[in-house]
Amino acid sequence: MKKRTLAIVLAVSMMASVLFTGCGAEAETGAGQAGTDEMQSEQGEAQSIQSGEAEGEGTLGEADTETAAAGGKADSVTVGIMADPENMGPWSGMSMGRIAVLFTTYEYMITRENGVAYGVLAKNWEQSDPQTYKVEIYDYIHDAKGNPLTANDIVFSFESAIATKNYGKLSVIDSVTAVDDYNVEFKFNKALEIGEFENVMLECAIVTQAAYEASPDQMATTPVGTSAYLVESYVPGSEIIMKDTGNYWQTDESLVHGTSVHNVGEIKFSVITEASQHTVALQTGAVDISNGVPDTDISKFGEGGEFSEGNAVGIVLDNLTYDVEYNMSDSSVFKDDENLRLALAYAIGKEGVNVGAFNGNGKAVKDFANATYPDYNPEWDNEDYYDYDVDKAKEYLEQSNYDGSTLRLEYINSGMSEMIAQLLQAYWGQIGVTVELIGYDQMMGQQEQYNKEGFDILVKTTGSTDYIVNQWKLCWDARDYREITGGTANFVVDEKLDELMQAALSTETYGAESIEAFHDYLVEKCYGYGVVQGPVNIVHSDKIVNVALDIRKQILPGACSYAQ
Amino acid sequence: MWKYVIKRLLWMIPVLLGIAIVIFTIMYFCPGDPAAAILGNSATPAAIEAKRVEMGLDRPYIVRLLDYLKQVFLHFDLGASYFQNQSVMSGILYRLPYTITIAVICMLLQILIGTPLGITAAVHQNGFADRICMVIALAGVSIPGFWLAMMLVLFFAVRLGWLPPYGVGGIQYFILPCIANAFAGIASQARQTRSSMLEVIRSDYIVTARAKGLSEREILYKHALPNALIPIITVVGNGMGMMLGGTVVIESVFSIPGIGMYTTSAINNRDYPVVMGGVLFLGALFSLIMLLVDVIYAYVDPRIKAQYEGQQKSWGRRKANG
Amino acid sequence: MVNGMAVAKDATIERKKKESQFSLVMKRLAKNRLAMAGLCITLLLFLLALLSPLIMPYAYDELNMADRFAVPSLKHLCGADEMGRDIFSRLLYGARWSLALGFLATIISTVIGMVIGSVVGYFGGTVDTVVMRFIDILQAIPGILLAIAISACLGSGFMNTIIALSIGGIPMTVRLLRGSIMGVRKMEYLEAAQTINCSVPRLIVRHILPNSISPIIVSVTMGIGNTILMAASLSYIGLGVQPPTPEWGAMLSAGRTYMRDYPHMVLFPGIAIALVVLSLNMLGDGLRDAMDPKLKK
Repeated sequence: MKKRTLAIVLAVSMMASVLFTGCGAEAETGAGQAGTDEMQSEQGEAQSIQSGEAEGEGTLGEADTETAAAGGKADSVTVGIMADPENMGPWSGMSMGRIAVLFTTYEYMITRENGVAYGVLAKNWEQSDPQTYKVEIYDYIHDAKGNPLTANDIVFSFESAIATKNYGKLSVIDSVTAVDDYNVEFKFNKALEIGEFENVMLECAIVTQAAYEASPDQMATTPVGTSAYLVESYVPGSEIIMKDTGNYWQTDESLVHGTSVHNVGEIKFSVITEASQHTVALQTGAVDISNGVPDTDISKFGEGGEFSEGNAVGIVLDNLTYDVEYNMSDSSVFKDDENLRLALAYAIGKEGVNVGAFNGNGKAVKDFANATYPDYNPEWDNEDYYDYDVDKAKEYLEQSNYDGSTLRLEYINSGMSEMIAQLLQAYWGQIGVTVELIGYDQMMGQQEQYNKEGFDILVKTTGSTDYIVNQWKLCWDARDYREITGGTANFVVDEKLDELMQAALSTETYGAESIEAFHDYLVEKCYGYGVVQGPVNIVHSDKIVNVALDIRKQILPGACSYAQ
Repeated sequence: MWKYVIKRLLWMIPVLLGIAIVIFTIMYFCPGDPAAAILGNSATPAAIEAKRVEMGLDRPYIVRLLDYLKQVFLHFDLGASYFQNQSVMSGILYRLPYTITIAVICMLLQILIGTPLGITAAVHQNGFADRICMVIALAGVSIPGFWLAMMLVLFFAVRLGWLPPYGVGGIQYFILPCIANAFAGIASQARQTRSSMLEVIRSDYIVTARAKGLSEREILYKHALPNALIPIITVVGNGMGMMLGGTVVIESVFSIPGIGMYTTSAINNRDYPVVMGGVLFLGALFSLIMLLVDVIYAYVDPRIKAQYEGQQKSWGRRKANG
Repeated sequence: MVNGMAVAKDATIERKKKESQFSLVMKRLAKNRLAMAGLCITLLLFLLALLSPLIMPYAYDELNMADRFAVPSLKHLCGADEMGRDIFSRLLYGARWSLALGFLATIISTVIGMVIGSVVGYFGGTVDTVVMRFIDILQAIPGILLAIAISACLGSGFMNTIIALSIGGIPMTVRLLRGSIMGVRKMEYLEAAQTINCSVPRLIVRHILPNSISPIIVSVTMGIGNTILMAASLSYIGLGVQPPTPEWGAMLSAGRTYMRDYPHMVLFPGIAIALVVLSLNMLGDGLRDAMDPKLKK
């Protein structure tokens, strides 16, 4: 048991290191992808959902790849997932179920490990001018059905993906052309920013045109990627069985990176929609690994727990942050009332929120984002970040113009946001601020978050898969929101904030200094702040010795290592 | 009678049209945008707008409605899901067997257990049997389905290990969901049966039958039961309709890919074609069941049959005119 | 003029008769001990709901992290929930919401259903055919899906939930009443009423309804409990009444994740719901017996 736990700890730290080094390559995956992240996924049921879309990948990284290569293989593994993928086609819209199986099914041009981009299908790539990139792919790629993959298939895949209009990040592509059989030229409609190219490469699943056209249903149930696995059977809404074809194209082990590792012969994804059934499934041994176990059941599988025999737990902190954003529009009570903003900020017992919502497995945060990002400044941990102080809160409240009216707190009523909203309501009630909760379902919330008349305070879940600046961008980059809100996502019109945000995002000025400046300014202004980050609970049997996760903290069953 | 049935079948067309219009309208006014859902939350307004245009969501209400009606009722095509590259019809047909299996088993349990319970209770009104039956009925009606479901899982699947806790497969996978789902139905069936039976037992013709010296048994099965059947059949018919779409919670607890889950998650995703197709399909199925119920009405009650056959003059109208 | 007077006179007589019939029903009801017990419990629950702010040991939304999942004790009579809120207080206060939800939704749907049902059942013919097609449309959409769709459309909230829950119940009442009326409309007493030139609405209210009402009463009493449970189902799906409103169904649904370790979290809301259903059923049974004209002696 000890050893296993250790392995997980190791894995987790690897994970962190991935993220650390990961910056360079990942950059704007965050933007789009995390964008989907925010507001917590399409289906929004489990808090473990990572970014809703985009194909970011990355595993536990190098260490993992090594373990993988070192063996630790198994014949079969059963993974409990929270939702049915519904559509496994390469370029369909994202969903919670889909991200759980995507990396097992498809490969992308590149992958990211420890923050470094490695070619998967791409052998190498170079920038020929600010708006043009050339990519060379391996000349011996074939898909799981044996169809050879050439530059034309890359063009086909990208063009198909663009045509679906499902991928906002691909909108920077002007054209994709095959130079010859194994060289592709990407032309973009603007000069790309840091990491943007990699994210484009990570956005589009690659298939061969031959396989795609042979599929009767656009691969919705019969996906054929270039990964080692092929769907053996699919019972919609219930289970997917994928088998290693034994015919993976990349024969040079040293070039097989995390997401392509195939340590297990057969992967069964078992769809379990009710969270407490994940506990039952693990307890009865029906599944080997799951990230759907409720927080309160986690301790049962841990050391000394009821079901600890033969099981182990890994808790990884999620990259999502539960944030409070004030409505800063002209008519809002917060607009010119910094004291009120601060009063509410100091009134939140973040540790209490962590305990109440995540059984203490999450973490109070010290920034709008959280410490899982590589460019997070660890010194912030020691700063005062609206640390719980009722007296201070009351003081600020007294200086504010708050007139006792009821404030409206908007949140998405799936997942943990509802609980966090209730906890915030109670904390604010303690200093005499009455708050009314307005819960929306995912769809309605998406729409209502930009309705400045609809709320006073918003609880939102945001996260990117790479940089902290890209998480910030999800609320504070006015360039993305001006069209709808006139300012940032929460209607802030503040030129200095815009300047600092752009400085932090720009390739030229990105760095510790610009990050620090933005962080400090936001703390000072208190337009919004992070409250808590949730955990991702991985429970698995001792069949698995090392858990591999992708950047959205989804389990990569192929890349886990197994007990001999 | 046949004329009546054919007339009813023809009437189903406007009913289905009505269902299509109602559900289309509800979904039309639902806040939330499937284009935004597909693109994810970070999509720019321009991208969403482009997707909306591509999906035809930018067209006015009436155009989209007519288009949809034309597609469904002229081309018999329920369309394709926004999220799954699959026609709604094949999605439904795939999930239908699970739902039907649960619904039929539950209905059988409800009729086979609920009706006798109710009759027993009525015959022994205020007696011991009555009390027992009513306690069961009350328990059934007050226990929430998902609570019972979880308890059954903990006991039969976890503790005893006899049955699988979730998923689909052989018949053993359906046992727990069906018990959990049927309990409330059994209870309401028992109550309704008891209530109708009591009503009938007290009526004049039963008193007359008793006066004629018929045996209690004969009275019960020959006179009382047939007359008590109408409200009972209504409950069965309604119950069936509820089972078809209303097993969402049970499906969710047991991870069964039935139509309820299919349609509900589509409502959450604003996957309009699936919602409308699912509801239309269930509506058609339900209309057929209700037709069957009305035919059975006629079978058990000749007075109603006579009315169906149009032999009866409407005294109500005569009265109103007079 | 003369005609008007006759009507007025007629109305007076009717009122008198109604009063006497009402008191008759009440008298009979009073003799039924079970029904009286049901009535008492129902009234008591209403009273508790009204007085809850005075009785509640804690505020319904008062968090106390130290008492998370506290089991029942003297401090927390029914234990505490996942945020350390006192379940007993929440149940007391929640009675307001749950009772109101159950009663309002059921009564709205029943009243609408009865009006439609009696008209349709009485007239038959074309009216029946046309109106029943509309009812068919409504009924053919499975109740819970309709409620989910309407909830998704209107958003969650107390009134919206009531609307969502009541619409689905209308067809059931209509069909039930129509079925009963079709069963009784050829009976001799109606023929008799007709021959003495009884007006149509009066015929419906005075003669048909009393003879067809018992299934309705049963379905209303069951319906209230069902509605509360359905609200729990809506909460399960993430719709329904807004937290932290301690609506019983929502409490049940919220507690399900923890029921394995802390059964009190679902036990007490469950008992509360069962109590309401039980007492209403006992009352309903008694009312049915008391109102049954066939039992008139």
